[in-house]
Amino acid sequence: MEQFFAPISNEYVSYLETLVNDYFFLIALVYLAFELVRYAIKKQLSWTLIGDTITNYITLAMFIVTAALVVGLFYVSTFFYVYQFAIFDIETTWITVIICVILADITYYWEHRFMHRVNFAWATHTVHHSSPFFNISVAYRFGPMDGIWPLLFHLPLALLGFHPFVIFFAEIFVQVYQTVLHTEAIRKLPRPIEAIMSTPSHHRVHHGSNEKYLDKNYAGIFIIWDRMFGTFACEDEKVVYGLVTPIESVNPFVAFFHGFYRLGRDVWNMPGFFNKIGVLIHPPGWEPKSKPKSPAE
Amino acid sequence: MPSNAMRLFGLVATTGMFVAGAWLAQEASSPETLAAVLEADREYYESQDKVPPSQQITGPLSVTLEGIRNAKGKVLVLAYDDKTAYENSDPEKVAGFIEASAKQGAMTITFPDLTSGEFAVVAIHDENGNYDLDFNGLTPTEGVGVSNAFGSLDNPGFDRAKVKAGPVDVTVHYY
Repeated sequence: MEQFFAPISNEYVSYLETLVNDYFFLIALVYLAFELVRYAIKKQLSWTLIGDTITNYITLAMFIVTAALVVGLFYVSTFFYVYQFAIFDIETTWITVIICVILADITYYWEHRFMHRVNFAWATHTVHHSSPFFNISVAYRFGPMDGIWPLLFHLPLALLGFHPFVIFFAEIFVQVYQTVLHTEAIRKLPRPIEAIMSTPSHHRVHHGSNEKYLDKNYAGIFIIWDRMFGTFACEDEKVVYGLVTPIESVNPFVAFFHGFYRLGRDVWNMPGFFNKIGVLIHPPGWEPKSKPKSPAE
Repeated sequence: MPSNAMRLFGLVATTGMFVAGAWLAQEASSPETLAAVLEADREYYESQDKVPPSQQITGPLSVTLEGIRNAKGKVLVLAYDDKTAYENSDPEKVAGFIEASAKQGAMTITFPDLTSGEFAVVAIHDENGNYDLDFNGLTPTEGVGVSNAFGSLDNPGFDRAKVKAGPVDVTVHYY
């Protein structure tokens, strides 16, 4: 048991984070090739699917550039700043890392729910959902501000006393687990696994635009958070992937910026200052209870 | 939209799990817990009449240094068996110390007395022969290798650095 309880160095955890992230990217490319062959055999391969797949990786490149410019060092230093005020004295061990991954998974649930239900955060996350397909390349489809929200939501972990490198590792671990879920090739897993873990089936539901699938299954690793907080839905009808209002384009710039374009348009068209703020902070599609008359009337 | 009761439950449950998790992490990673785990491990080996891994004879520690860039000066090899001494880089409390003239490429240094246990091995290519690892600011100007380290700036903790007595490869890294 010693190896679980003995201290490990934070630099080592950070090294593992990079290793997991980079190797997994390669594994995902190999898996994508398998999925494309599968689509070809089922005669579902189309130029739209191929264009969409390429667009997914272009949004990833654009995300990395914006993340490096806007977040970069600021992200890391904010965590170390907050870590000074740690409440608990937590030495980094494998046990600590496991606990941090579980807490980061709860964090992911709320962050993800926030990104769906608050319009100004949805403006970036809608990019990920704008693909009408569902394969592992969609997991790498990111919006311009997708790097900002994890910062705010994971900071409490640093305040509690987890080392920033351990938190980053946990974030990447949850993210990599999530990536695996983006596939149609795995139908359903044995029931005990479907009951506890988030699975490809659960995540297909999450990507559905079907009425009963909207705003469901936010979970990263454990589906129990959805069951606990009342956002669970089971996959029992064919999933129609994508947005309620599709973008109907494989243009990477349309995909990357449509969220902010739509948000800007909705705010512009909403009469009244407080209603404009309301559009920003309410769920997508929100309208004020009593529609105000526009000043011209 | 969720009801206010659901919102309150979400807030309370999440805060509760966060604080409980952090507290658990603190307790599980404390030196007291580690001591208790080590004691339990020791008792287990005794009850099974087995020799704990730390006392098994696995042969003399024989360190093969790789990647030495030239034959200038000396190589200094330190073997630590004590975590605190290793972490403080205390040369007075090493389990073994050997110095030899540097050879370009690879060379092997054997500690005949260190036949069992685990050691963190530190190797320095002391090119100017001042018995110190020289630095320019925070970066070393001479070669340095630590068992299981992956670069000249990687400073593994004792638990990652330690290797069993026996043949061991240590790469000498230059910044």
